[in-house]
Amino acid sequence: MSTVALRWLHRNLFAKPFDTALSLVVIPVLAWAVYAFAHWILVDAHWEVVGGSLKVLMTGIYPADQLWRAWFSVATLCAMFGAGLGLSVRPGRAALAVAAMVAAAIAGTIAAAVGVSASLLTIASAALGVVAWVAVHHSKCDQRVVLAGLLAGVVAIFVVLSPPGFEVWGGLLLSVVLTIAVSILTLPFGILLALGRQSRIASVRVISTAYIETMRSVPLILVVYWIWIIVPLLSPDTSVPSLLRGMAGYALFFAAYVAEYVRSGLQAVPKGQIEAARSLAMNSWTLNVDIVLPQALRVVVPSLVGQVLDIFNGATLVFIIGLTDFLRAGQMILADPQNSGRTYEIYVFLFAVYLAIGGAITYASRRLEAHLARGSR
Amino acid sequence: MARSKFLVAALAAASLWASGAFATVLDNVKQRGVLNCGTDNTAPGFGYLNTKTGKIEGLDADFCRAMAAAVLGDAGKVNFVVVTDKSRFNALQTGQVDVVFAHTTVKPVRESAVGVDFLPINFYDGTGMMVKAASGVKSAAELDGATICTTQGSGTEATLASFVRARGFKTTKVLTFENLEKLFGALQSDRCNAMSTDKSALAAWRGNSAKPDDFSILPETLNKSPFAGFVIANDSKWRNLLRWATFALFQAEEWGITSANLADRMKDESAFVQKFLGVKDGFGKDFGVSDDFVASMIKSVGNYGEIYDRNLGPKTPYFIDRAGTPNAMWTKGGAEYSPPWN
Repeated sequence: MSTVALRWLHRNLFAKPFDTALSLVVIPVLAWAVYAFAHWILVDAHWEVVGGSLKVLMTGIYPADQLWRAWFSVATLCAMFGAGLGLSVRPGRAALAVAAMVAAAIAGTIAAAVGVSASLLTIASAALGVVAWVAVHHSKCDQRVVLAGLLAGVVAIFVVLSPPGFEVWGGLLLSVVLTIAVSILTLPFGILLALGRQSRIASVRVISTAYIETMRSVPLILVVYWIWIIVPLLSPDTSVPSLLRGMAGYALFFAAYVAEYVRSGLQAVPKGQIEAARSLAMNSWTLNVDIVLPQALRVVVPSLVGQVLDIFNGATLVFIIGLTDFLRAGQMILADPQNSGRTYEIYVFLFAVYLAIGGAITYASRRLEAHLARGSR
Repeated sequence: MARSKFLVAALAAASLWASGAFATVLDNVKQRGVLNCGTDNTAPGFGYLNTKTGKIEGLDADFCRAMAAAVLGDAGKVNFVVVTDKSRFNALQTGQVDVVFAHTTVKPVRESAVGVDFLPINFYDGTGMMVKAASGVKSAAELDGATICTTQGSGTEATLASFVRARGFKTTKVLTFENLEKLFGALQSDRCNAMSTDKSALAAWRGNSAKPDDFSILPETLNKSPFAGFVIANDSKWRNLLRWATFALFQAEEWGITSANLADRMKDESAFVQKFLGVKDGFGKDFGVSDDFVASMIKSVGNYGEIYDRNLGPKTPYFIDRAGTPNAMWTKGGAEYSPPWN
């Protein structure tokens, strides 16, 4: 062992008697835990169940002959993710290598579990994402064009996925699409609420404040369920799909939180700027759109991206209105007698996927923060 | 004068609205051409997704298919809408589903306050007990002095207490655990001699264990939890059709009419059977469906016994014995009973 390693060990783990004692207890316990877990993952676990039910986990009961629609969504999502990266991260060699490795690992796993065709489609989607990344980065095109492109991507996903009916959407696809749609819907609504809360018109201020505080003081599951019940009673047509009702519930709920984030951004804009703008006889619209919001949103974008994670994790609650999200899809698989006794495999897989997606969103939030901070320094 | 005119107009509008609201579900379903049926998708043996075929299976799912066959003549014309314990009544009230089969216990408040009408009971569940097969216990009477375990705060706790008192067991202990998983773990690790909860849940835990044969479910049932499908209240045309469609499945089993021998039985010399199957002058017309609605149910999903065996029979992991329980035909001492079809 090199002296560097020894010195590191001494400094970090065995510096003082207490440290040494702690290390002697904790390291073997940790090692044993890691060993036991790794042994279970590599030797004991029966991963066929995950491979055999990957289609259900990913898309729920989406018709098998319509799966190209799901693949279209995967490719579009990859391209959108790549384009988003292109705005903030330089596609250097290291970053590209990491992307290639992740894609290869996923594709390899899918090839082993499901088949080569699915694996090739995964690689193609990942490649599309990388192309979008590099293209957006090098074209140096206006951010607004890219954002419009991202919106168009979301609309395209909805249009392509909807023909078999909203009730067959399920699995990870449902969780992801719901999260994206809700994240986008909450933004305009939340900004309006935040501006409303600061409005000089008393009625607007009271209504916005009441709305925000009401939504923030009730649980998400209640809002979602309540909207699910109330929509068919109010609308003449009772057949509004559960998915749309669920989305409405999530959007109404999270808009209140977006409003609070945006408000914190609004308050970060120096008062003097607003007074200066007013003294230049700018109207409210110009003042907000050209002076206040660009600065306010820049401050809150990282928290808003963090909120996407909240929405994604909160999406597990849609089971209450009969939708099959990723978690519920796992439970649905476990209810099948053919998969009896595979509880741990399914839950470990769900855990890993949630962790990976949550990690990716957290990473994106941090990168975005760094990227935006660069501009204001 | 103007006022009374307004009143008349309002009343007319109200009556129009009311007549629209009271259009029977049957017409809606026929017009739509597909039955929206509420089921669970995480209840082993009752409603779950077969991951190989991608189809919803189970006793409740088969009842959905049977009803679709009865109403529309095709068991495939069913749209499964997933409902949970929480949403099943609201899904019906908001018109999202036409009928629900979701292992729902028949209870008075559900017909009086919630406003649904139950169909005939299609499964008799109830609190049961499961022991390790190695213990050799064959009946609840042998559990004197044993430790019986159940979940905290469930109705089962009270049921067990009264059972122990009624049997006069002196040293029997009742232990409670936080959830079914811990409860099953306690049985496996011999902390408990018996675990007690609904029989359908016992069968699922037994079936999901690594070695189902290590456990046996005792024949006794300590309380009543009958399952039935349900429809919206105040629509007797719809309710009666599904009610008699359910009875028909029982009657077919009683007469030994199965999906396999249906073609032969269509030529049965008994006029009752001929009428029942709608060969000539059947019952369907008056219910507002095709005369051979019974035959099309049996053709696609079979009689009640076939449905039961397919989902809860001895060849399935979730075997719940019918013999000696209310789930047996009334001719065998059970409670599955159809009023006469003549």
